[in-house]
Amino acid sequence: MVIAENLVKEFIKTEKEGRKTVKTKFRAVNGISLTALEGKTIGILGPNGAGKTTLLRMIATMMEPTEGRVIHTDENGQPIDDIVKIKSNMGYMSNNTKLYEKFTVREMLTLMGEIYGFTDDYTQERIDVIVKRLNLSEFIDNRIKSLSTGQTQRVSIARCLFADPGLYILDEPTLGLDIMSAAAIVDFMEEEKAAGKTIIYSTHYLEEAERLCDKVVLINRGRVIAEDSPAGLCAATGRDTLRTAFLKCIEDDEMKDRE
Amino acid sequence: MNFDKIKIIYKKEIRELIRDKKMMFMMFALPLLIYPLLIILVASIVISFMTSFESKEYRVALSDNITDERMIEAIFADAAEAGPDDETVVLSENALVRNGSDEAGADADAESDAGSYFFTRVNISSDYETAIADSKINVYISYDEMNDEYSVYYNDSDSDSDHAADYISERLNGYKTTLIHERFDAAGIDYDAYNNPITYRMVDLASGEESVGNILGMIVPLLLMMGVMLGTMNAAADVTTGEKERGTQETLMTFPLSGRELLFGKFLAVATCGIVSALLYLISVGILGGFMYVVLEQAGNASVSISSFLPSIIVTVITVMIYSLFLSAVLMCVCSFAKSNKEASSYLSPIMTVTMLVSYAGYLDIGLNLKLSIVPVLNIVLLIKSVMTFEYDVASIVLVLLSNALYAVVAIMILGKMYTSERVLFGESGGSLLERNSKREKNSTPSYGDGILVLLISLVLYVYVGTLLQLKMPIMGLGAIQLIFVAVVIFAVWYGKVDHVHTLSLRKVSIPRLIGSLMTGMGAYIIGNLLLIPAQMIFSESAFKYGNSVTNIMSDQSFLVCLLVIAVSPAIGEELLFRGYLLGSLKNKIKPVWVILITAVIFGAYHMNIVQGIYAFVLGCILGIVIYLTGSIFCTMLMHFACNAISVCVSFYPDTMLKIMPMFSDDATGGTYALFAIIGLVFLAVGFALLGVFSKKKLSA
Repeated sequence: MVIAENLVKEFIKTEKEGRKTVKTKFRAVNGISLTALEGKTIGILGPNGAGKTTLLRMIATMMEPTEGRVIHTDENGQPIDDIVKIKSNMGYMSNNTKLYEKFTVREMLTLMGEIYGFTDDYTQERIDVIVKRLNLSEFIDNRIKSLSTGQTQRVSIARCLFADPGLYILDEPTLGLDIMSAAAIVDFMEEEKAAGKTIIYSTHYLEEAERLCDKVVLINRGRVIAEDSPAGLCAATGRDTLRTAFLKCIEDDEMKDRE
Repeated sequence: MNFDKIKIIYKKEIRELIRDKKMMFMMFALPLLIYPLLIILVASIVISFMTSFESKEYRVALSDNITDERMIEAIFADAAEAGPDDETVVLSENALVRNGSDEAGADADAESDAGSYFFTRVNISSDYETAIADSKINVYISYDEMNDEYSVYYNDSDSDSDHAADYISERLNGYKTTLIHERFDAAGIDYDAYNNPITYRMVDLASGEESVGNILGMIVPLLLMMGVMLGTMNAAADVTTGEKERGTQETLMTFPLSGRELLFGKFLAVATCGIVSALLYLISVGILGGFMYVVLEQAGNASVSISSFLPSIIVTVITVMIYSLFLSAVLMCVCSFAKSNKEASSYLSPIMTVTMLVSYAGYLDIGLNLKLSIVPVLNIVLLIKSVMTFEYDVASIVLVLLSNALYAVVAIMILGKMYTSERVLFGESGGSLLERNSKREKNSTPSYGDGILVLLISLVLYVYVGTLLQLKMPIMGLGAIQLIFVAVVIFAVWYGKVDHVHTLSLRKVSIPRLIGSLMTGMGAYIIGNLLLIPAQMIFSESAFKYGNSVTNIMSDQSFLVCLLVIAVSPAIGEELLFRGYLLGSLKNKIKPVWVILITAVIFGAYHMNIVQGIYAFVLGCILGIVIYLTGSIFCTMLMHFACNAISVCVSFYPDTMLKIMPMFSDDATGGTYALFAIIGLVFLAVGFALLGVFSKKKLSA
């Protein structure tokens, strides 16, 4: 289970106000709380610049929140204090998690095994499982640099699920991918969800979110503006798709702000 | 912290580095192939030059009035048969062979490694200057009968002519010695008894090892420093900015590793590269040394025992390891500021330049002492030099190693702080003037980097071009220098697509403010000069210099020209540079007080004279305040003009001006000073009032 309590992240932003360059403190995330229950899939939705990436980085313990805290609990509900332990049970993927191009796929996965502290036998076992599952066998000994985009995407998924983590944090994983690669990601998420893993992910593709998520969290300008199951959200806004419900929520929020 | 994890990261980094072709080329090919090949090539060229025995012909012309046949014969040693050319008469050839036994022969022996030569007498039709310039002859000798003196004309910039003149001088000396001998003999005196009352010889007690060590003490530190630098530099950039550039930084952060484990793994990998690279250089020198040793041994000249260098080599290797740790941490710190490899290498190059310059300390006559043992980089160079020359003392060695270990630890700690900072990991950095023009936004404000860059360019031009201009045209040059400032600022504004109105404070001013500026300028002049009086007493010398330089410039010039050059042009040029671009690049970034102080200090330092500098600092402060008050550079230009114009008036009409301002006369009393201090302050106050300091308006700029 992951609990985020009143998260705030402040950045220094340099902006031009007319002729002046002004440094202002700017809250990318402004008091967000959310809970991801074990085995549930949560979708973080919001326009660009809403604070999705910052929020996910904080939940993934890669960024220190300015205020508030993130609690990861183990299977017994006890909080885990050690960041390294949290990370070893977490698969994180975003547009910025590129692979080591100079390594072959096998070297990359072996390195992962070493980093996660697996025994050689277990590493080999994981590699076998993953190669079979993601169909990597043709290019397992090729350098990652020489792979096609689709193949690289599959290796990226392999990296993410290598340690068989209980929690996935995915930052717009399907952004900018062709239909095949995006489908591979969605398949992978569905399989992991079926295996009882917790998934927190952000996306712009609302149909995808509607299908996958148990709960969606709408954020705008660093704040949560709605939080419900996709069906619940549709019902509450009186729209019939998540897309229209999303637009309604954002519109309402902008209206509220103007008043 | 888990050492296995560090080891994993270390292995990962090393593997990545090994697969980087550029890196491997720098690490292995450079020291092991290119440098030795280059050195051997150069050495063989030099040797082939030195051993070329082809005799060189030099053409000499004599003036007609030289009739001393014996001297002619001494120069052209022994006459040989006529040359192929009708007008040349070959009178001389290879002195080395002919005169093996006598004085000239001994001289020739000394020169033997430079090859042999002979002189040919040539008759010239044109005058000797053109003949030498056209290389028709190498040397011309004339004889002044009045003073009984010979003159040897040659051209120092032409190597043939220069050499020929040296040889002529040798032969003339030989002839002179012969004549002295003859005169002594004629007088019946033993020449040697007079000329060599004592005899002595110099005996070099340095062993072969010491001589070799001396050479090694110069070369080895330089090569090792270069090795460590090149090795760590590329690796440091690769593991920090390279990781960011390849987009794997975030991937790395998702791994269950603590920041420190990551950092140490990377750091050790960089240090390893430094050590390996340095050792490769050492091996390269070793191979080269071995090669030379074999050559020397075959020539029967080797008397060096290599084993005596063993302790030195061990100490050197340990030193290099510690230095490598230190440098790796420093370079990684620097690299973590950069976003890309390109940016990193532009940050690293100044460090590299400084380190390499310091590495030449091995060539200087500085020994390692306890004070120098704590100076980073220099202490390493001196330590390696001292162990190579067998002149070490244990305390210094320990101190060098300890201090470097300490620096390494401090650098690692700083690195640890920086590497975990989010600004460094996810951060973005601002633009700079070096950024591509097309990437810049329109109407930007220059960064302080831009400000400093423009200042430096202006000052470099000021020093070089300005000095030249002033030599060519003393008075107009001064004005031209200001034009340089204007040109640099305009270029920077255009290139940087800078919002010029805002940055340079080009704002229209009202008439009262212009009057206010003039008043403030006069007040500033009076106050500044009053403050100068004690300064002049303390730094009397530089006051004198200042006075002198001003009077020199003023002499022979009309009042208007001086006003233009000394008052008008600096008011435009200096203001645009200091209160315009420099201040514009700083304002809105730091507090006004600091902006004003910084620009004033730079303005003061720019005058490169203590007394003038203090005055300029005071003036700079007031000018800074004024530009913040009015937001218009025209005000400060007018103020600057007022100050300088009064100076010009004082120089031209000292008597009138002294009547107006009696405080500058020698018999001024404390009362006059006080009175003028008050007058100055009143001027300032009225000026500031007109400028609007007391109005409720918000501060602009």
